[in-house]
Amino acid sequence: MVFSSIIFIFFFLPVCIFGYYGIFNKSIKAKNKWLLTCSLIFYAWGGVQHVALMILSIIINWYMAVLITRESNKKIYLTIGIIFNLSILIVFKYLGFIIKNINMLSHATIPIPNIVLPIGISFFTFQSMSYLIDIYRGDGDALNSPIDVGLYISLFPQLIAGPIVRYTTIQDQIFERTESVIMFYSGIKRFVYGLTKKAVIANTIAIVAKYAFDGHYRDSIGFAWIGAVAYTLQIYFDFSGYSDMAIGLGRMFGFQIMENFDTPYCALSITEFWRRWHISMGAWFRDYVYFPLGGSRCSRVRTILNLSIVWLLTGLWHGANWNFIVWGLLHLFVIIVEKAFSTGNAQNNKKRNTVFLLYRYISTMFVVIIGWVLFNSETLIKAILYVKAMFCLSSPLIDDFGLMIIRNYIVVVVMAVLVIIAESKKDTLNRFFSSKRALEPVCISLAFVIAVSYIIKGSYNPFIYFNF
Amino acid sequence: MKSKKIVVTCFISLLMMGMIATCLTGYKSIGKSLYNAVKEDFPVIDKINYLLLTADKAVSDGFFMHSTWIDVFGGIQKCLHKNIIPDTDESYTVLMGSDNKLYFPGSVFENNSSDDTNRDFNESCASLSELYGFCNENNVELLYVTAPHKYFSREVKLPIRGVYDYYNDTIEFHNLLKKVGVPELNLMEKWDSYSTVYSDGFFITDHHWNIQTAFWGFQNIVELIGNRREKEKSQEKCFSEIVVENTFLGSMGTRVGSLYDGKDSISIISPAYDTYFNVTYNSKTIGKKIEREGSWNEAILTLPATYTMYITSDNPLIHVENRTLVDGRNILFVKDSFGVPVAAWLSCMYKNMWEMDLRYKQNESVYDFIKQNKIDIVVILYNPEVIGNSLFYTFAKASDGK
Repeated sequence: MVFSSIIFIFFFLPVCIFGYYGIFNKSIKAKNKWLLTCSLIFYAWGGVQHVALMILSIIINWYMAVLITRESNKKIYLTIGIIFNLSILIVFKYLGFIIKNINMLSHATIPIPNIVLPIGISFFTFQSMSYLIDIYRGDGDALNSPIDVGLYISLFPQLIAGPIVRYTTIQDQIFERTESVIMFYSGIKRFVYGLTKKAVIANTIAIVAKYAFDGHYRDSIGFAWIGAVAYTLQIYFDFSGYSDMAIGLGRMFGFQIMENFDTPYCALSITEFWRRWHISMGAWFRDYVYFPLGGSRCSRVRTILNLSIVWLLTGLWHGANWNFIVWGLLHLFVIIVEKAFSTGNAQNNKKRNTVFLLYRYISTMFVVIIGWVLFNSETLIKAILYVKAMFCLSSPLIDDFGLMIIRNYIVVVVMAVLVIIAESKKDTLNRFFSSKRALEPVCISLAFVIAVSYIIKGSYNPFIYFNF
Repeated sequence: MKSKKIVVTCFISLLMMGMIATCLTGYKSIGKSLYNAVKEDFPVIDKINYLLLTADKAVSDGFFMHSTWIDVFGGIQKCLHKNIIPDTDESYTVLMGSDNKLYFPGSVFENNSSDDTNRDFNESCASLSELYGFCNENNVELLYVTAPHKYFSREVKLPIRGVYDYYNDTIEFHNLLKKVGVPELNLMEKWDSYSTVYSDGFFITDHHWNIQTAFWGFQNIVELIGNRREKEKSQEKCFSEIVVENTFLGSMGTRVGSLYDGKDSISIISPAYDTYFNVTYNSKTIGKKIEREGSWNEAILTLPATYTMYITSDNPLIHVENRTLVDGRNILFVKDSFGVPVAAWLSCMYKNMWEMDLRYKQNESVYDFIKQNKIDIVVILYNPEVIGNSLFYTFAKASDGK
């Protein structure tokens, strides 16, 4: 089940809301149990067999946290918990990749297991590890009931595509949260906004990216760039749209979930880009990998090593394939260069003149776009061929099919760019809607109707981050 | 604050109403999909997963006012000047041609070459030749007819490249038939005698030929196989035409809605003389025997006014007995969906008309059928997409030596 589906919007969600506010509203415990039940049903929709894994993960993490709190050998239990969570990840996500590479290097013929990847495994295992580490550090109190741990790990708004909710940011909300009309309204607004970004913009632009990456990138330089830019927009609207829906749904039930995107396509450096893109993941690696390794408070060589580990893991987190690793290393390289020339500093960048800012912006987006080509290609070879096509001067600039695609999709692309600009002017937009009270509900209603019509039509509906 | 309360209340109410309205209006179709899913022979876990997936799709397809939502979607695409409307199934992507009509991409190949290794022209020709030999031995006339295909690259440009043009396939196949002596009629090749504008012969929102073109096809068939009385009765003066405007949303139209490219008009071409028919068939959609008796309007035409209003949509076997004819010949009409309206007019010419669709009547012997029902004429009518597909050219039981 995905958020942008009729069964979720018109069946699961109203039943969940009705149960939460209508039947189980007597106590927070009852509400939590109801939400956990709904979350497990939601997860089961993507594969009943994986619910068992989820329940096992909940129980193990709950028990390890209890032992960390009560026992003296905290480190051992933390280690066991981390190993358990990483083992799930390695077995389900990386085992095939590991065996494939062992076979390639050693000419062995170890059979590659055909393991189905449970949806959202990278998200909920990272959340589970966050829970154990925060308990170990004393930043939070272990939850006595596995129900409450289950709620934290499996809460359906953020279960399958984030944001990666840190335990410390949500622990109080498990027992005490504010549910109000204002909060619910804010949740509706955010949910409908995310739904429109996903169903109307991301799904539409995805077709262009699909045409390009299916082979049309070879037709002309123009189409190769059109496809790359299309994917750049698709992945942002897909992922940030889903995060918006997750945040909106959380608010409907009184949860304040952290923001996951902050206009990343307005960044003036790759360093700044990663402070704005998938913020929860970046923060996780920073707090649980980079800082414990020493961060940048050590020698230059050690800092580069720490960064390399983080970016290698970041690439790997996204997928068990070499092109993800190379994508991570590309960003690492650029970040190191930015640190060396101090061009990553957002405050410094803002003080420069317009030409310089334009140069910074174009060079940042250039790296981002090339990175996404690496990210979306099935193999490294295909990625190289695609990038080559983007700079092949012997190809025509654009062909008839490319012009046809531009004609069909230019309006949606312009819409997408306007949305990005509007997001960077959030305060102005909020002031505008505050002064015109009737307009906001009308816009929400219109967006909802349009989004639902797209969903019912049932056109192309990929969810990029479901692969993680 | 008040407005926020209203919005929250409306939102929750809308979701609830959507759920209740869908349950009330779509419970039959949703229930049927779930029931079929439960019947599948899968292991337990796979069955549950399949059931959940089916529920997802069934609820979406059966959602309250489904067609209205599609209309809204189509209207938006029209405003965006889109001429490529993708679908979850790529072959059902809808394209707007340069003639402002809708098309499916169907088979998309580079340089208009066919890469479909399942199409064997020679095998299909051999099968027809064998059937023709049998018919000859039993004094049965045979005619093979190819209906025109909507997409003809000489006449219309589509927004994507490589959509397959079947014209050359029809020429090639009919040349093969000519070589082995099978009587044939290629309506795509004969087009210039009918109309100068190719796309005028087809619906806007559907992939079939329109009713007037189908009637032209019917007249060409009778011209070749009909006796003097049958040819007289097939003349235009023996039929009347009523046009029902803006009523039909075809195969492409249902995917993009009526606001995208409008609706088609349907012609009801009916015999102008007295008629009385008995129509019987086992409906494949409801699994029951259907029998209708009466005049053309009572027994042949069905509501609503759509392409399949002539008798019914594709079914394994339909029998129409023309009770106004004291004596008359028996015709077996083997067809695909392009033959739907043609079958109705053929039933005006012949004492008994059997309409057979081999997609739903497999493992039946056409040879035995011809003998058992004393068939005088066999007409086979297919659209060019099926040429070479063995499913349509298997006329004998697998156990037969034929």
